[in-house]
Amino acid sequence: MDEYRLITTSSPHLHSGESISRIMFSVAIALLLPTFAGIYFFGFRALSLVIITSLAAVLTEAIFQKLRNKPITIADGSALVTGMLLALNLPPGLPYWMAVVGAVVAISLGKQIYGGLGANPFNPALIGRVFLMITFTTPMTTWINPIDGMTGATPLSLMKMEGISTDYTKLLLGNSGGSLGETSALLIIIGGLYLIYKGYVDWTIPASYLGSVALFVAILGQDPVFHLLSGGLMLGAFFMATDMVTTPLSKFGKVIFGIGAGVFTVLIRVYGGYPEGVSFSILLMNAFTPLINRFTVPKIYGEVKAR
Amino acid sequence: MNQYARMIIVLMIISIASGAVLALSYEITNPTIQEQARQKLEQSVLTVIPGATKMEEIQKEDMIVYIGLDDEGNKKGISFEATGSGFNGPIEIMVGYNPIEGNLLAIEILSMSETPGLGAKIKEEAFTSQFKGKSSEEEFAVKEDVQAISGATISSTAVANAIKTSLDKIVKIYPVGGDL
Amino acid sequence: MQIIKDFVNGLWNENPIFRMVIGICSALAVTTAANNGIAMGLALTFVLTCSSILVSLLRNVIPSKVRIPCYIIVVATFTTVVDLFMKAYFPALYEVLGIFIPLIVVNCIVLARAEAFASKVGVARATADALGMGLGYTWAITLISMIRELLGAGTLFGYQVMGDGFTPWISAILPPGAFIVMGILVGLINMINRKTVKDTDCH
Repeated sequence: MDEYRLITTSSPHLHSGESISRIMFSVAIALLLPTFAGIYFFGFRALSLVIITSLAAVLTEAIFQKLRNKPITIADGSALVTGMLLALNLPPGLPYWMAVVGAVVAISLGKQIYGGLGANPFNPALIGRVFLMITFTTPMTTWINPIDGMTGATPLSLMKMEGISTDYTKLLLGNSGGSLGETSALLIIIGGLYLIYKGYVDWTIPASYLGSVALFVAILGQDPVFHLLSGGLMLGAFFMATDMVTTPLSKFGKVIFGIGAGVFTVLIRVYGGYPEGVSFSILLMNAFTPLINRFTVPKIYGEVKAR
Repeated sequence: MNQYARMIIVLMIISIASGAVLALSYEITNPTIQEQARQKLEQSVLTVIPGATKMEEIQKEDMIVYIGLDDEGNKKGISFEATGSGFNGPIEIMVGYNPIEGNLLAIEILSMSETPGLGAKIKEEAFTSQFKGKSSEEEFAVKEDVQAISGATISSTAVANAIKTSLDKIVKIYPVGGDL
Repeated sequence: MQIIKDFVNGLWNENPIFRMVIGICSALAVTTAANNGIAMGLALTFVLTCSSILVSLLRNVIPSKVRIPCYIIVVATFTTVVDLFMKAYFPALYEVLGIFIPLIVVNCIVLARAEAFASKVGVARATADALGMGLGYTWAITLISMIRELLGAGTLFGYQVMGDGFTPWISAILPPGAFIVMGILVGLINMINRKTVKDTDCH
């Protein structure tokens, strides 16, 4: 029999030239900005933590896919991005082995167990972070102050426990305690804007997320600027709430997602037991994503309401 | 009809048999269960009142107070239960108190369901021993005169507040410096 | 021979926790320490065996229309007996398992075995099946609780096994740890089964 080399697929047949690996490596480049900030403020420890966490994530992906006899897709860069994002969400003084546990959990329980990239309902990096948060609570909430290298509270816990606010410029530049990559709001915004410019991130989620946080914080009578600049909000809004796999598809759905995440974040920050609620709120909204998608199906042109 | 009668009779016989078995087990176990509960209470009263070997239960206003006595019948102190709401549920605490000097003698956590490894540390000696010798006039404010367990501020606060609330009631019944 | 087959069935092939995944409510809730796992398992085995024997004895007496209420009364009676005796003679254990013992009444394993097995066969087979199921449940939840206790507290049956430098994995003894540990074990056992079943012509 003759061998036909024709491939039959359904439309569309246009290809924009984008691929997963191109998108992922652009995200990785954008992530380098907050990573540099982390290295600048927390030194060699931050650099080694990022490298170890990313390596662990990539290795876990390879081993998991090998064990399941599936094609190994570490070259698409998605495991690398997960590892980097996880590292940026960790306290700089965290023991290396705990970071490795986090990366293994993020990739295996957060992503591969559902069938790999595209099938995971939750953001893998956040799964890793929340797992570490409830498993090793004390090390995960021991923060190093970049100025004197001593342990101290983050601006958000200072606010929550003692009502002390932190200077805006310190928050903007990153000269405050916190996770490795969340301290410099400015560099995260630049990285995020780069991704929006490239078209990989839809501006609606960060805009509605940040906007609703500012609005609800103001309604509750707290300082909106402080809440926007502190904690993991910027990192979450630009890099984690915008993950293509785990967020709604339509524009309207994205706005709902952003507002929901904003409301949960403010509720946890102001009334919850933890000082920070960005990771929990994004995971909660991830769970709502299929529901949002179902109710915000865009109208097809010429569609008539079914009777 | 016959079928229905049979259903009713079988169900009734099984219920009666079950009732009999339960009544019998209750009769056998109840004295031991009561004894267990009493022993447990006495044990905790005696731990929080050092030197006491016997206890006496009295009702004062709306509080149940246990008085600890030594072998000669001297009153060594009083104790009472305090309840607070912790992170996962109620926390019950037995508090030993010396009304003459107005000091706490010791505390013991009777029951709690706090998070293992975090809030559950309120049960440990390292946390409970700090209440020993504390004056009833102190504030019991966490992070000021009460050391909180790191990462478990809610549980620590619950214990401190529960003790303070009950202690304030007790101080009204037994004024500091007064008799037992 | 049939009796041995019935007994072994519950231990592996139709293990209630790992293969049939029934009765996992208690399996997830009490498995924070290995001692609790064993105690809960034995309590369930006792209730399951007693009620299976009784249901099997009464299988020709109980009219089928009221069989479920009858089973429930039988199960509830034995559960309450266990509850009272544990409270009286093992107070320390009762403090931990107290709220889960009454839940044996609604544990699906007990009712499922009464309905699906004991009510259809003789006393000997029903006893063998109940013992197998009960011990299958016991080893399964003991294994889960050993892993959780080891990771979450660094101890096994209450004895320190991990060194001083060990950092407890708190989430292992929290509810999410139960789901994660059980999920991984079910996966592993499926993997083993798939490898062994391949050679035989089962199914």
